[in-house]
Amino acid sequence: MPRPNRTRFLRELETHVDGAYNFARWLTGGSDEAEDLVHDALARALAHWNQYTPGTQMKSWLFTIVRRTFLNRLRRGKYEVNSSEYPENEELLTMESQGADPMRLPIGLLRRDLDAALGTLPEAQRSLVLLADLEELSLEEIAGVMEIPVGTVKSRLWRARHLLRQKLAGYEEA
Amino acid sequence: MTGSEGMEPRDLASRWEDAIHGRSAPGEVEALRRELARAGRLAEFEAQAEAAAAVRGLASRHQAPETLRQYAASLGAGGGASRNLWWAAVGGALAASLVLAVGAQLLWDRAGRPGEPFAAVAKEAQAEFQRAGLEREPSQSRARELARLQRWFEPRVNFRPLVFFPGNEETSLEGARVGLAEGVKVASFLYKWQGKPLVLVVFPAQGSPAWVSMPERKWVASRTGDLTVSVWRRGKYIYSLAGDVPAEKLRDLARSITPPDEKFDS
Repeated sequence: MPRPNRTRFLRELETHVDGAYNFARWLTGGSDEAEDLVHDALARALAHWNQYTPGTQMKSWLFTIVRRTFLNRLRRGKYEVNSSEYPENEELLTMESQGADPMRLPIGLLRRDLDAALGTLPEAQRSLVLLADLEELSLEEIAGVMEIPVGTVKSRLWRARHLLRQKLAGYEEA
Repeated sequence: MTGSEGMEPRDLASRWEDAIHGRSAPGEVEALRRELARAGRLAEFEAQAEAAAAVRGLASRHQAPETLRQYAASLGAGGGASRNLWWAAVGGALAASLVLAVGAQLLWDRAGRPGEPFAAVAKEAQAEFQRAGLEREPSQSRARELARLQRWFEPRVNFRPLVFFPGNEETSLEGARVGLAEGVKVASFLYKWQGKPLVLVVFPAQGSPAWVSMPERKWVASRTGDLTVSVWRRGKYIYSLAGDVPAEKLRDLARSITPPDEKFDS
């Protein structure tokens, strides 16, 4: 296993600031809050830099810190965001339970509509979609960030996209 | 395995995820599509791919602000060995002396020996001055506009520090940082007076039992080694200005920092 090197660690950390900020911005909904959140996350990452294993995915490691920091603040009532959580003991959905999706996305879908629809998803679903489709993390990496099993990621991601499509169909009707 | 019979749905989902994100081997996507079509589930999976493509292509990507990039860059600059030039004037000796000085006897006191609340705030201001001096990049925001910095603080410290001094020819506003005093977030403005660092710390008076009892307005200063620390209260805020600056100068600056009609007890 390569030895941790602080300089190399910091150099690599710097390359993920944009991604971390974007994720934080989607989590918090505000630029100042996102900047503050990433600031804290970077400080935490630096404080625990020697826990990072060189050669592993720093991006998902940093995103995990960002989301944990966000959730801690959320519990303290710092943010007013749509943070619906999944119910306890939720039975994992199977792919079949979703059924076919007959809806088509609106032709000429606009960024503002997509952003608005994403913004209305509960935080956990929004995070799943963003990590999978915007940041293109693997299912295993997403499981690490969200701190849930891979199987749960798959079923929840499936449902989140389904819900997103429903919301986007609503924009077309509007 | 290429057939869907006997395959768990999650396996298909994993393979589809890889396919729609370009992580599949050549030929795998078409094979998978054929499997899904045979199972009558292709439309369902394509709907997932369509949603993923919409997010990938359209969702806003927010760029990190310059201040955050600078902060991240400052973490790695010099590999932890160098100190920011802005604070070079402070010098290692002063920083070291401050470590010893925290909590030490207050040597200079224009208004008589300060009471306990003043001493507590002065001690925190000394520590904040020291912490800023030891950072490679003391500023978390390098904005030099007072109004912008005051807005910058609001979400970070849960108050908008009331400060009336945007700097002048002699004393420049260099940035700001969030400080910590007795576990409470405080607002620190970084100025330079004749090239020497000055830190103005604004404390919310309700933030600590030690601060609440501080009398209104009374202005006191103390000098430890090369550092002069002044403390005064104005309404719900307590101010502390610290730097290697003569006390009289700090007093003049303090008058500019709080509202113009401020009258200091001395």
